[in-house]
Amino acid sequence: MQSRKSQGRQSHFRELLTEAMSGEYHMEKLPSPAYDFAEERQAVYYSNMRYNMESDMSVMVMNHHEQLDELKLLKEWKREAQE
Amino acid sequence: MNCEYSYEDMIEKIGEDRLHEKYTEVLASANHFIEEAGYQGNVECNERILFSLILDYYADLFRLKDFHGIEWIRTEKSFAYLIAWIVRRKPLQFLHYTEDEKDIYVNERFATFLMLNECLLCGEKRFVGSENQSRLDEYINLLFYYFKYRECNPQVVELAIESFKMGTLVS
Repeated sequence: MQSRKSQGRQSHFRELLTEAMSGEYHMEKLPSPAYDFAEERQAVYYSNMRYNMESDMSVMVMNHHEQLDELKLLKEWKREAQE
Repeated sequence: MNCEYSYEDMIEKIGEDRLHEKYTEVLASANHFIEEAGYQGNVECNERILFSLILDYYADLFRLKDFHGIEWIRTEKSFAYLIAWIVRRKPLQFLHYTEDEKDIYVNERFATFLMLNECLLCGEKRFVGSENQSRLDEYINLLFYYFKYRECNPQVVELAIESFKMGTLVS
């Protein structure tokens, strides 16, 4: 025999289930675009991107903050080995 | 809802033409980047790794589309997943030891460029004003750090791109 507390919990669950079944809760959807990123649209995007690789911003990405500590050490070791 | 794909099923679903189109565009961009960044002769885009990462990219997108019931995805999401797979798979590979004054983070640089291109350039060639160069430099540093040392999560990359675009609207 179920206790009054347990019966209450079950009836509350039923209410929640009925709410969900009646469509009161909506599953959230990701926003999606109205067009496909393919064919000509994609070709134009990538072509512009390659053109943008010649901008000063891309030069900053390509050349700045070179991390050459290991290269310097390797060069030093090589030089020492040759001497 | 079927979220289980084999590569064979997936290739059939994407279509060879579409797959080839994406592969060709990314390969051409990677090769152009290698040249522009001064890595030519020392670095090449490994075509097998690139093909494999494009399949993984599509696998992610198919799961997403199925799960959310959407037909198409936005460029922000497309590039977020592409960038994350580039950072994971590292298609740009050094051919041999080089003593040129270039560091080893060529894939992370390529990923950073793709991200900035999507965030800032929006298809147009733009130049950075001298007053903003140091701030942009700091931002590039931050992106680099993330791609080099943190776990590259496409959802985080997508959110960063979206936030950046939103920031340009409210400034």
